[in-house]
Amino acid sequence: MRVKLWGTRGSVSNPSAGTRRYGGNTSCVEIRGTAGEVVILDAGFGLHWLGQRLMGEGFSSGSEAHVLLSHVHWDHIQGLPFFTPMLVEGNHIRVYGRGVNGQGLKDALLCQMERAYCPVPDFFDDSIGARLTVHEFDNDSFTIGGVEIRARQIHHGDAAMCLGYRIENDGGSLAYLPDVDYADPEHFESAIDLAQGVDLLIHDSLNREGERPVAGHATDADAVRVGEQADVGQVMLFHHHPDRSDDEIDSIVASYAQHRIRVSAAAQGDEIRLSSG
Amino acid sequence: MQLPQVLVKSEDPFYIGGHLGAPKIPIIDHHPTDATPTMKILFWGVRGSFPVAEAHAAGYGGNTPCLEIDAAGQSIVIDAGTGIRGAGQALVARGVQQIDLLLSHAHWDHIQGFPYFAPLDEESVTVRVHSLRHPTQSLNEIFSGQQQAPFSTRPLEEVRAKLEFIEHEDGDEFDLGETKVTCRRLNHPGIAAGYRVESGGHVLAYICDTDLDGEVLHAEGLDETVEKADLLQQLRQNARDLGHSADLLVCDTFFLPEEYEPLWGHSCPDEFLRLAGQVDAAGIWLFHHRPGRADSDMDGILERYRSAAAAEGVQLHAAREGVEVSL
Repeated sequence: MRVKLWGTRGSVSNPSAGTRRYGGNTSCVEIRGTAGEVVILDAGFGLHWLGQRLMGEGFSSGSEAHVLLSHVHWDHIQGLPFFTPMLVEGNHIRVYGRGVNGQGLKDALLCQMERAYCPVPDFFDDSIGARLTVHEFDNDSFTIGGVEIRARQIHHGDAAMCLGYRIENDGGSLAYLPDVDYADPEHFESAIDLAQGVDLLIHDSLNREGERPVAGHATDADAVRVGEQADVGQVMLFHHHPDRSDDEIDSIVASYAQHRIRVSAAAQGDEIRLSSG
Repeated sequence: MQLPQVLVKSEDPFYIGGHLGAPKIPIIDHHPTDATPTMKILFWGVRGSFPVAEAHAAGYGGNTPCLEIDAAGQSIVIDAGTGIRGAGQALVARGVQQIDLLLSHAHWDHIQGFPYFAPLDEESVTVRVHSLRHPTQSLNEIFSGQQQAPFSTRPLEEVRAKLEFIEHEDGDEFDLGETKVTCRRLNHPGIAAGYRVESGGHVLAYICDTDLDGEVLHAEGLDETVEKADLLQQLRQNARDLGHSADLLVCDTFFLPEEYEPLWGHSCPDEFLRLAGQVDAAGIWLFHHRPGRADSDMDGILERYRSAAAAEGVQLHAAREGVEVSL
């Protein structure tokens, strides 16, 4: 499968000269299965540019995209109203995830479209073009074409529910844990379980040791520790702090140069191929 | 459509961010003068719809709307797009204790930076948010709504600064120190206002977001007994009043004529050049650039309208993140 990074930043987009190499768009990762399945992890602002690429590739009437949401914090859903393939009749956009605090996922997504905040057409309206369906689930496994997906609840602060995903296709595997904290050893175990033996672990690294921690997030050291214990092929630091500069990320990655596990940082625009070979 | 790519670090001076420190912003003085300026305007965010961290927008900038104004020592911020993060870091670094935020309207791209506005973490600071009154939602509700669970982990109640919400009526004039501010309703979906900021004989007009000359009435909650055509006339007059004799007129030029969508509530440079000519404004600044607009497109737009601007006797600029103008 092919993995492409369209948004790597956490919390809020930061377009600036100091963040250009690792990118300033909020979270969005594209996965293409070997049979052409379009699976998208999270819908931050990177989603808009992925949508433009899909349209350029002829993503038109009859195409299907599967958007897996980790949770509904703004930085993971704010790109949805600007996902152009949603406007094309015959397309089918399936959004997967979980509601929270008794509110269903669809209702949560509708809050973003509230008229006082959002002037763009409501994508739940049948007349918008594409068909949109919302699939709610919890700790669950399912397949999209030849892409196998396993979701598992991970800990993201006290109030927020977050799903981590494990994705396998044609012998390649990745785990996606974009927003996670390890306040309790139990939280650690579910992350290790989900990431066990994957080729690529995409992991939250918003915090950094020695800085005032932002609640609900992990450090690069946490990411590497999960990677080590789950025996993954590569740890990719993700969901960068909005103020984290490219140079700082370089130095974080460099600090793991001698580590037995390969550590990299997610850079917007990068593409990775994962396969059994 | 230009596709994102792995970006190379350039020598571009528009460096905003740095790590949790004071932002580095170059001072570009478009109106050099020996006298102490009475008004300084700094563009922190110029992009419309949503922030764009893509190579094609790196030169003009990808942050959503935010202007910082220093009016004879009074700190005024217009709109709270993602650009307000940089403005906030700079205001805290300078130890500014009183900030007035003028909000055009509550669409996401104009408020999404607010939870990350650094002065809100400072107990000693007072932040006053000004906006046109919304008929059904208080300003407090609008801002609390953005910062509520399950969408945000930063509830508004946790703000340490003294935060005040001040709701104005169409046409209100109010003083911020020696600076006079006028708030007028504009034609844009929902409840949107433009502002006129006057200080020491200089005038900044912020007329964004709006469809200046469109035939569709977008503004909501207006007096239903009045004819639509009359309401449109009234909203157009509002824009003229705001822009009258402005030194600097910040415009909503999301569209070019060939892209114009009558249902979106945005304008083209043509209408603003006409307006500037009519109301004797010195210069217009194209603003609220659409997300796909590349830097080269912006340069092309300036070229395209150069002669029309000259014919109107109006200076033409395109707002660019990091540019400071002194009046």
